[in-house]
Amino acid sequence: MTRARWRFPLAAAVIILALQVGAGTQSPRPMGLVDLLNIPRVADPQVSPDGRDVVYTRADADWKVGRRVSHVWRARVGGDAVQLTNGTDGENGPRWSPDGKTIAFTAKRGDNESAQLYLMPVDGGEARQLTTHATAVSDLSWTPDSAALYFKAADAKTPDERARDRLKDDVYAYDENYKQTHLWKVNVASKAETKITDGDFSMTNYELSDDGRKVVYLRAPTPLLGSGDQSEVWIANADGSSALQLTKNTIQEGNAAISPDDSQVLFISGSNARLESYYNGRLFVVPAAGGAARVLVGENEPYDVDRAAWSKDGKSIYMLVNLGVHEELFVVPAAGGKPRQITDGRHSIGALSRSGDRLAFTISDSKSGGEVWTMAAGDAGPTQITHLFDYLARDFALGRQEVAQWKGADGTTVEGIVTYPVDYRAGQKYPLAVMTHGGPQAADKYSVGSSAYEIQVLAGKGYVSLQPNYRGSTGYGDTFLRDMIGHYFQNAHLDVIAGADELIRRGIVDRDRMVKMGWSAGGHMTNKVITATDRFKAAASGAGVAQWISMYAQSDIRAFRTPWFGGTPWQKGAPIEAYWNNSPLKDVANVKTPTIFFVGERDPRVPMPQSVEMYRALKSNGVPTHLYVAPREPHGWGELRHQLFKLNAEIEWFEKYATQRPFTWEKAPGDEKKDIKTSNDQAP
Amino acid sequence: MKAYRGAFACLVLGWTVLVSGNASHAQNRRPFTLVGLAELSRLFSPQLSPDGATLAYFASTTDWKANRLVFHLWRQPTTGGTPQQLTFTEGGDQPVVRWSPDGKTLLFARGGQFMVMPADGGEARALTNHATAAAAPTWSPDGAAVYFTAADPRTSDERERDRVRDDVFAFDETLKPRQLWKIVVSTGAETQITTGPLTVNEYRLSQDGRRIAVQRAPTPLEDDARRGELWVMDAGGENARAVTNNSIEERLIDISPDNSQLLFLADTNERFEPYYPTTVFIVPAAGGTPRALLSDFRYTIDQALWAPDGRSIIASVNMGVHSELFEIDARSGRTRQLTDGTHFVAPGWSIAAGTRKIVCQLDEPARFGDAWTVALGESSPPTRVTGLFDALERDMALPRQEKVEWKGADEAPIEGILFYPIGYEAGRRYPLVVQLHSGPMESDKFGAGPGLLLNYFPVLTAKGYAVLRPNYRGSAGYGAAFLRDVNNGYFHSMPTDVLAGVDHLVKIGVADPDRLIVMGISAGATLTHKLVTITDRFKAASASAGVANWTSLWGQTDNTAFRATYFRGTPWQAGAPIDQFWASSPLKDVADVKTPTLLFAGENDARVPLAQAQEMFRALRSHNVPTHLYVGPREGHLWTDPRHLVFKANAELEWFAKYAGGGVYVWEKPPDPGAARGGS
Repeated sequence: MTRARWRFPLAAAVIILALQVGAGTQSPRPMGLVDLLNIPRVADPQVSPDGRDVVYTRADADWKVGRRVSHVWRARVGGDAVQLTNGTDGENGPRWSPDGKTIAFTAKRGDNESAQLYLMPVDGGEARQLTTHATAVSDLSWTPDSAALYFKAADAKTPDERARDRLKDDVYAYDENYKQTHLWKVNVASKAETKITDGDFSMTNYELSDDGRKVVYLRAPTPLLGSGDQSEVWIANADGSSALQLTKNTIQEGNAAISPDDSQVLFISGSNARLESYYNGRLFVVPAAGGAARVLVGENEPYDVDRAAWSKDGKSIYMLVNLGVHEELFVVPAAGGKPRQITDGRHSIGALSRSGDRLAFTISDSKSGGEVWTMAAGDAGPTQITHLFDYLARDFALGRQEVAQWKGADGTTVEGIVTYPVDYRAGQKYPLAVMTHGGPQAADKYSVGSSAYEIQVLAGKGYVSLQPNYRGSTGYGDTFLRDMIGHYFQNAHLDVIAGADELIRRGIVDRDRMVKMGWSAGGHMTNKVITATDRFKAAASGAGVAQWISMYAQSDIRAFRTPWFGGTPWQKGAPIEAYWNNSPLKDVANVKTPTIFFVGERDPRVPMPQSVEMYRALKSNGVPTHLYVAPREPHGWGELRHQLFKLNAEIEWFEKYATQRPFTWEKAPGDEKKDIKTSNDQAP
Repeated sequence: MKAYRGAFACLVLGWTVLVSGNASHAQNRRPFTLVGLAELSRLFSPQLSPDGATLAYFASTTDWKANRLVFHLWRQPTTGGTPQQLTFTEGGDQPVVRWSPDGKTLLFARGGQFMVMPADGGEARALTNHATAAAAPTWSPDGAAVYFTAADPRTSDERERDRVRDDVFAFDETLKPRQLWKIVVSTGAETQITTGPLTVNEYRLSQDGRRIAVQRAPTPLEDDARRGELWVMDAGGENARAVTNNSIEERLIDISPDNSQLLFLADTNERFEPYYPTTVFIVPAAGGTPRALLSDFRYTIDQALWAPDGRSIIASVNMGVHSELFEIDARSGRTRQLTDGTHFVAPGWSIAAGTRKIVCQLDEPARFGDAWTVALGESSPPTRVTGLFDALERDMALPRQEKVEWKGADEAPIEGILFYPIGYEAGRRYPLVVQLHSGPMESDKFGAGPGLLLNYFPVLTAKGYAVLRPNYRGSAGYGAAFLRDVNNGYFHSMPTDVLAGVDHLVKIGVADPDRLIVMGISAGATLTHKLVTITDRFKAASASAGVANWTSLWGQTDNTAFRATYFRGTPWQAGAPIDQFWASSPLKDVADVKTPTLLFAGENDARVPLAQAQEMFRALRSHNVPTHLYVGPREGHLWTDPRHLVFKANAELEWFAKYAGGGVYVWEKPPDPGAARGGS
């Protein structure tokens, strides 16, 4: 009897649990490739004016359309998250109206050729289209009275240009066929649109003051990324009048924001107090009436300031600070002083926004892709709002993550993230995947991985992963960052190799089963490392550089690369030796490591010709290689099937050359029954 | 076309024109516009019927709506008479036509498939329904079958992957091999003659239809042609065996009438060393070492075919500023020149065996490629068959073309073609446009030259520009040493040869030294890049698809094998001669450029990719040299869309007027077929 009485509730609990989590009664399984790609992405959390709700976008894999589609969701503490929008092509950039009655967002819907602004009542009903702008609308901001919104849009093509397009009379002037982007305002009641900035320049970024009276913006000669270093901070009345230039320098400013009393403007730049570039991120403040910009944080602290926001009272500034393997929330008095660290953890923080006295941001770690958290001014710490990623630790066997430290060739301490195999046993030696981050002005942190860096999938297959924050990474002080000045590869690649050696020394890694991989600057590094060592039995390199001379001209951004070599490759007396000596192609005759390359056909950053140079060099020298090209893709691949192909091809390559194990390609959802051969190496 | 005159009468006139030029009635003639030039109908694929009585050919029209050339099939009696248009589809056909051996059927291609049409009346019907595009048709001698080549189709896996956009692809590894096929005309039954991974680059059926010679390479990649070999097999594909085993590319193969020997062309010397003037090799069909037929021959062979008697070989020969037909004794290599004139014998000519006549196209100063016949074994001059360019010659103002000669810096004789401005007056100096040919293993000749709308000399000369096309060092047709000047460092005498030519035209009073312009395409653009780094004499320049940086071009291009001798190795070999690559790169000295320079690049150019133009453009811009880089969507190495070509010419004419002419140029607008519906 007694047994029966407690048995029933337990059985019910099990059923409820099963209903909640689906296959939750099964033991955690290794993460597959599709599992990795199905992890949702959260962005743009925004606290409601009353501080109770948060809206954010959540993008989920849609295998039918082959990409992630983002929708607007709302959540509150302790409540379930609710999906608010359902458009086929998704929605972006949700913003609460200050009266709390309306959520604005952008979406491309119906027959529209570009994204328009939509308004949705908070208390029920569908969204209606507000703008019918000729070009795509983005970056929304409400006026304080909720009567109007600002947005950013590119100038429209002229009738003559449209006629030429129609006739396919479409030769275009390279780097000159852009349209300037400007700030607009649309009235909610009348739908009337007003152009706030105008002229032969681009308004690339803006922020409205809290009182709605001022607008601060970045003004650049063109909207091209390559002219970012020529952009300057301007402030104007909210109608665009009395525009005043606040900065005049050669550094790139970002994150410009006006203090609540309209007296100061903060911005962030990877520059030092003398306004020289190529430093860790500094927080600057400049008087709104004009004057010299001064560094508030970063000159004396080993911090890399990523984002900043004024507090509601304007007395302090909140900051996200990159500390290498983790990122934390700090606050600093607006008048200057010692920054105070608010959070501390094995995590990364992003997407900072403020509404009233409440901050919203995301926190990601080794088991989460970034939950939404909020924190009010008086709170001791942040509060977690969403639980999107709880299923990861529950459903999947995840590898443990920790930081390892080692010495570089010159004795400098270098660290990185180590992810262990899911069934790791001390004393056993495992294959190692060394993954190097992009940037190179970046740092790898605790994370669950990505389509580019599939750490947990590899952990499930028995690999140790090492993500070294090699010399040139941010968050370790300026000396560490600026090790690349004058040469690029000085200590950077040696740090990476030393990291692998350290894990061998610790008895974790089998020296005969090591692979090297990376994307972008991580691809540059991969290309360099295979010329410097035969330690790695296989390599995969995405969107990496072959040689800096041609790369310098081909890429859409150049100014930030100049310090690596001390000038342009085409100036009088060009430092061509520095360009060539640091080019992987120079030493490519040394390469023995079987290496596959990946590149997007439309990559403007590290364009396809770089990968073609590497591929043809290896091919011509008889090294096993393929170059996989993804149609339509830019620098980072976005289509799910392209990402899945990359993961399959890469792991198959590693298994073939480093672990000599068979590998079966994982199929896209819906393709399970299709017998499709994909890889060249699968062919008989 | 209406005012067609008898071929024989016209022959005399045509010959006279060739000799004297056509400056006489210049004032009555209309100057060419860009649109007029773009709309000029051209002739393609002339084929003589087996009885020699009828010529079939394709003529082009310009479709501004589709933004491309459209080709239709025409027919014309060789004894005179009105040309008759045979096909009329809106999209046109592919300009390839073959007479059946009995002369009763015309075979041509439409939408990648072969059509057959009764020669004496009736509509065409589809012959093939192949999974991929069919090309290179050859009738069997009995007319019962047609051989052709076609690429292997994409597999159902590949098509399914494309459908779901699972379309990451392995670069340079997805090209399908081409195979040789045969289709029976009566039943439509297809038989595959070759199989396997080797690709058929070209083939030739013997005259008795019993044997086939094939050039097969490991992949269809441009660079792998040199790894290909010559094979012979029975007409059904049996008993295939390789005839050659070497590292050269065998091209334009032909089987002797008795099936005992093969000829082919290759860019090598008799020891098979690369980068020599193209010459003829003969190899026994049973196999053996190919022997170079000619020794100490100063010219370059463009095309060669066995004569019907099998004792000699007919060849078209590049002699620098003109090309001619030659007869070469197949044993002794003794040569006899069959034609002589201010013209270019366009490749693609053929011998109608039954009539012992060569049918060819001659590109001439006032006729840009009419079809002619040349009787073998007779000494009569060529006979012009078509009059496609009657109106051109009669009504349009065309420049006088003249060979000019000068000395290079090392006293080597250099020549080129000078196009005088329309209405040229002796003693007056004119702005000069120097046009640099591509290749560089090429030469500029009398006539329209390749890329009429890319170079638009009739418009330039109508606007008062003189045009010089120099056959600078590295050009073909002037012997091995001249050709091989580019080896081991690329730029040696090339730039100074061009500058010496400019000096010459200034000296003889034609060119205004203050209004010099240089332009070029491909190798001509690479040389343009180089010239603007070494001199400020040119007031404006335009370079299309040129090399900026040899170190990066090497990996980027689809063809390094052809260029292998330019430098002492590859940029990626151990101990690479990287200094030589860099020293020869225009980018190295780009800081010295002052000349306003326009750049053009095709978005899909595999030969000299867009990336090269980006390097040049961003470098010039950062030095504040006036420049634009105009990119042609969908275009490859040589642009083809008529609107893109007119845009390019407009942009250049404006640039030249602005920086070298001092005038204002008004852009020409091509017709807008949609304008009536409310377009601009």
